[in-house]
Amino acid sequence: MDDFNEETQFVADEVSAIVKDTIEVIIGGQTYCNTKVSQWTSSVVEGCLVGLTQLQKPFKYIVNCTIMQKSGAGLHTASSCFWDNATDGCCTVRWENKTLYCIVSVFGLAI
Amino acid sequence: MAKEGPELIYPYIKFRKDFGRQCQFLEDHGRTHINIFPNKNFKKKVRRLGLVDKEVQAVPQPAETEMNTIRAIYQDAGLYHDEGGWPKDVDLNEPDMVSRYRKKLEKDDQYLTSMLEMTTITERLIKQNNALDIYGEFFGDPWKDPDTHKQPPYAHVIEVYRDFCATRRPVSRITWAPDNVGRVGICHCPLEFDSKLRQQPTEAFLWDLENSSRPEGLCRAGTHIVDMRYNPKDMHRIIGGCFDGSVCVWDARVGANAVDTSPFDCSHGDVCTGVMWINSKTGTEFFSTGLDGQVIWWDDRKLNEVLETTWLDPEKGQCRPDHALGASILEYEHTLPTKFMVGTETGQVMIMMRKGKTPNDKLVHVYKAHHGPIRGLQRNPTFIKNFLTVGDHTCRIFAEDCRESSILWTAPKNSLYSHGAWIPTRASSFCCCRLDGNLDFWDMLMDPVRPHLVTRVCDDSLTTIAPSDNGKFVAVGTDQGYMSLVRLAETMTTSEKIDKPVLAAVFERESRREKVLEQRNREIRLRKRDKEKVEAEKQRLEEARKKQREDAEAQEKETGQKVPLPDLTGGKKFDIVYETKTDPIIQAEREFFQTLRQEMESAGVNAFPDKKQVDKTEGSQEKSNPSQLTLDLDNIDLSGLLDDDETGDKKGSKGSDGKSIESAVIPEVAPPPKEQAPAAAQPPPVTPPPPPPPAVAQPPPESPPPPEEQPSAESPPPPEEQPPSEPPAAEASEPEDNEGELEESDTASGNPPEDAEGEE
Repeated sequence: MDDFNEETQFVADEVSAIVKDTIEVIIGGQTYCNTKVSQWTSSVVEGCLVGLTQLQKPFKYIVNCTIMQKSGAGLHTASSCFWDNATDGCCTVRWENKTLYCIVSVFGLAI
Repeated sequence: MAKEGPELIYPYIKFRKDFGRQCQFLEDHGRTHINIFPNKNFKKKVRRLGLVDKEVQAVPQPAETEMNTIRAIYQDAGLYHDEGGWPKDVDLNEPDMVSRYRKKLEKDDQYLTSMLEMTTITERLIKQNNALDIYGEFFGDPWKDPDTHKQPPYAHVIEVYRDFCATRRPVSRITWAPDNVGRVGICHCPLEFDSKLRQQPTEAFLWDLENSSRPEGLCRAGTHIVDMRYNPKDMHRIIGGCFDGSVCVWDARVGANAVDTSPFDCSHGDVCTGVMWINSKTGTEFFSTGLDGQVIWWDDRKLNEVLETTWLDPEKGQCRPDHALGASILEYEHTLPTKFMVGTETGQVMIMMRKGKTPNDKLVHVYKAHHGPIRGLQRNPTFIKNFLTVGDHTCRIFAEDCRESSILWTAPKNSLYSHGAWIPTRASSFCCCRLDGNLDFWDMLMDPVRPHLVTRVCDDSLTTIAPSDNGKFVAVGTDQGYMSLVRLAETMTTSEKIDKPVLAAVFERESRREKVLEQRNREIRLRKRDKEKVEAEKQRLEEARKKQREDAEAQEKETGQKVPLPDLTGGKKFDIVYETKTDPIIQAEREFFQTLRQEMESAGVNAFPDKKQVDKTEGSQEKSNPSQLTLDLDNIDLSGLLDDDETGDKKGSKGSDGKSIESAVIPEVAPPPKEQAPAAAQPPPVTPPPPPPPAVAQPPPESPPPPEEQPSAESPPPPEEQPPSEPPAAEASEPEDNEGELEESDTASGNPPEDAEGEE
């Protein structure tokens, strides 16, 4: 148990900061638009990955992005994993502006 | 050879502890990431799009492309033209030098050839821009219908303005405000004396023509206002002459009451009948006249002082208050600043000068115009030498230089004329109003004999008339206090280009004719005077002979002898020399009419029109002068000349100036008979054979001057030297002098027995 150190652990705060920055840059205050959503999602996912790899940690990452128009509809997501609880972790960021929700989930799996 | 030696084995050893932590996979139970619940607020905002129709074209789409051709590029460029190329020693500012240099160049041989070359080039350059002649007249006056002069004239009453007081007062004067602003001032004043009328209200009214229901303003004075005038430069300043002789000044902005009134001691002594603004630097001077015969100049800023006064004495060189004539109307033309005209109550028109230094200069001339007061007097606005007078039953037009009579006049009408004025925009026409309610329009070019148009305005008597400055309207006042506004046809108020010269010719012709008549009258008068002298002479001679005869008879009785009568004729037959065919007066008259005829022929149509020629040249407009005015100069009968003595008296009685040849001849020739008589009475004692009694040779009571003092006594033809004494010689008198002959024969027939007796 002594081996547990910062380097090998998934720090949710760090990750959520990266994700928020990325979304902020890409979507910002734009209003929901059908045609742009696919581009936004891929950009957000790629942007997050770039940010995570720059952390230089021995992790595999899974990034999942959902963008939903604010139309008053409800949304519920859940996930279940079989992993090493000590090292692996998950972080979900919920970001919203006036017209849309952007939900990004990042799973980090230690090697 | 492979030794079977110990087998070389290198074991890699790694302890478990070096492997790190053992993975211990556990199930991570399901976790919830996100819970977003339905939001009703948002849901309300969501709008579901309905079905959308979309059209798709299934035909091949044509392509559209645009392209420009090559453009011409324009450029704006100006050209500043300056004279240049002059040699240094020529100064352009000195025209002399420039023209000298030009002349020098023009003499050069190269000049012509170079000019020839250059003109073709420059001409093209000049012409290429002048596509349109901007100064050319391409269209005539579009607004002028060429047929307008054919339209019938009309004058319609379009509005009536009534006296705003309860009682009806006659309109005494209407005056238009300057600059055609549509304002009119109306004075109401009963001019005949009636104490009841004097108690009526005294206001004069200022009307805006647009509003006929209520006057715009009023002017109030102590008595009735007779005449009123707007200041031509400031329509708010109004002057007026009052019934009590004073003059007043109103300011329409201030109120109804007069700003200033002249005190009685310097005002007129009787009704003030006319006021007029005059040309002055300050624009505040005016003058007035009244029935007391005085003309007073005023400054409207201080009416308690008189600038200048004069009296209307009809005698030249005099200015006596007790001889002054009452003025009924005043006339002033702004282009003649120091001259003015006054029409008097007794029918004369006086032209006066204001600035005359001596009383002699002040009165220019007095014209006898009408029998009765002058009601209207105005100079023609175009030909200011001619003026119109209206009075009694006629209207007359005078020329200033025809002093004895008017040049044109209308036939008398049944009713009296009360006022008249020229139409300002048409020089040839004037209008005048009559007491029977008719308004006459005369146009000398359209119809010289009868009024161009007669309009019945109303049943009341018309008292005054005033055409507006633009000539379109005429305001007429009645004695019931109404003012009618009359609109005139356009033909009556506009004049064409040709009208002015034609009218000038008419005036010229008429005044010339009048002058010729004047001259002839003068001659006739002179001749009559001579004749009277001759008659007186004859009378004297007759008396002398009678006395002789009586003396002889007395002697006969005393002595019983016959005493022969002295032959005063010198033994020759008696000739009435001054009446022979060779009489210089007749000779001179004949010459005069011959030259007159020649002049007529040489001067052409305008001077003495032959009717046919006039018609040919001046067209139908100028038909003729009024028929009662025509005088056929060609048919003047010389023989009838001597019978005209009585008719000649009707024209004025001015003495002859002796300017012309004809009149100059007469006084020269006339004396001889007078001088000859005494001179001839003396010689008989010497010449005749019978013994002359010296006693009978006594000269007539008033002895004329001796013959040697009169050089003219020598000039008469030989027969004149014979003394005109013998009545029997009457048979020898020429038949030309009918009256003379008759008288001669009378005396002759009465005497023969005695004469025969005497000669025996």
